[in-house]
Amino acid sequence: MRMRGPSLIMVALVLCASVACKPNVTPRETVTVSLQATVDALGALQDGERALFTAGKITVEQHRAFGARMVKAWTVVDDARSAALKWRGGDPMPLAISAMSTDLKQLAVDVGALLPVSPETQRLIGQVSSAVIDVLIVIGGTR
Amino acid sequence: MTQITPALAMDWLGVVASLVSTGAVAVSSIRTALQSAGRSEAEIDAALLALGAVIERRKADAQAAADGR
Repeated sequence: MRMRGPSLIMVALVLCASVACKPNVTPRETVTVSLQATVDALGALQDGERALFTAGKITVEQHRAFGARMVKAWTVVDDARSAALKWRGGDPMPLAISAMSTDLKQLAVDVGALLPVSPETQRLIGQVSSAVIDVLIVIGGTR
Repeated sequence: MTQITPALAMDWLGVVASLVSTGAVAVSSIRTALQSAGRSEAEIDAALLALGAVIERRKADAQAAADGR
């Protein structure tokens, strides 16, 4: 399989440069775009796990553990969304947005541990997850 | 612990493919959003409110999974 992680990061850097060149893009709008991308990414991850469970490829226990972890992830993302909604120009970036970034990093680790796979696929999942998260962090400018 | 069979390993490669496309979805979303960059504060508010509905639905799905459904 051809890895797209590095290319994703390159695309992110190009897009980030595009944002930087647009003087009318506020940090709040950039974070909003990042949140939209995060929701897309987590939704796709959740759909993939659901498909495996429906196909009987993972146990009920693994499915339950994954679901519980995703509930936490969605809660953190929603906290960041709520903070962004109240965020106004001139104010520092809300802490909930940084907290989301931290939790998404941990999510990649947790998913790898919750759903046992071969070492090779674990490595790939880690790389891809990191690439996705790096995209979000770069675009969101949360570090 | 689930026994890792060749068939299961192949399924997981499918999941990896899904994750790769997840990244593509994210970038696609970002690109689309940037095309309309420069939105007003009201438009940003509307986008964040719309995201809330999506998150709520996704969280309910995750809770169903946590309940074993």
